[in-house]
Amino acid sequence: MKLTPEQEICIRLLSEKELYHQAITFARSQEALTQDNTQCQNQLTGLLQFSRSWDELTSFVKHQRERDWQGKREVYKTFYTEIEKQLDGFIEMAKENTVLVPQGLSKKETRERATNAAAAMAGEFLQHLYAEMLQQMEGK
Amino acid sequence: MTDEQHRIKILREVALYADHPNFYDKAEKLGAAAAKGLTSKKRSQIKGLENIANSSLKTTDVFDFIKIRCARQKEWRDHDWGTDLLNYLSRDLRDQRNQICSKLGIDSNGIQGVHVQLLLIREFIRQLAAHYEYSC
Repeated sequence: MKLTPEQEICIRLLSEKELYHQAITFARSQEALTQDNTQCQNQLTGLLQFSRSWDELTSFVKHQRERDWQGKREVYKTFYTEIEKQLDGFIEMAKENTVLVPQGLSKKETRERATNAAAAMAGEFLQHLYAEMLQQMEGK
Repeated sequence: MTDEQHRIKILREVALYADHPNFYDKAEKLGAAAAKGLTSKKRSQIKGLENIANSSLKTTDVFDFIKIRCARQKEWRDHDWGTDLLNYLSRDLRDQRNQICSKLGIDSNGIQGVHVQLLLIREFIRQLAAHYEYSC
């Protein structure tokens, strides 16, 4: 389902005003991950690749959250738990925005449009997160 | 006021700011720093910066580009010129955007505000690129 031009502008503004800063805050809360540059980059790259499809992204995040992370890599369980919360948050943000999800739709249509918009938001957020975390890692 | 008149007013205000000595001096300083860090061998990096600035519809795309370059290439970290550039574009030009928007009665947090900051960024990077070439 393609976004309308008005919805695209809405997502662009959200990306500029909220998602960029959310990504920076999120990155700073996950400083423990940046101790292992290679693993961290691999995880971020994976997230970006799967962000093209909402279903693939949520499946990937769920799978990674449920993995048996051992030792120092236990921090990834927390990371993916928090990413999952972010993704759920995007669904709620979309539902509260009448440009992205008009009122008066059926439950199914509401869910479809919210998912569509959340996918776009997730793509923007993960792009900002990738850049911020890469920069954080280089600072070490 | 028509849309075209409004558009011209925005362009005029951006041009006035871009003509200010502080704007020029900063572009000159960062252009020289970029030349020192990148040298003439990495001219494509400045071209890439110009391309992203001219093609993006969001200021944060430009910021992300600079962050990734700073992370991946030591030439962008030489004397922290890459970070200085990021800070100037995201903070100083944001303040200039707010001043222009206030003067023209534009919502600085709306899509037009984003457009104003993008115009400032494009003009700054254009001047930086010129100073980079001169310094190489």
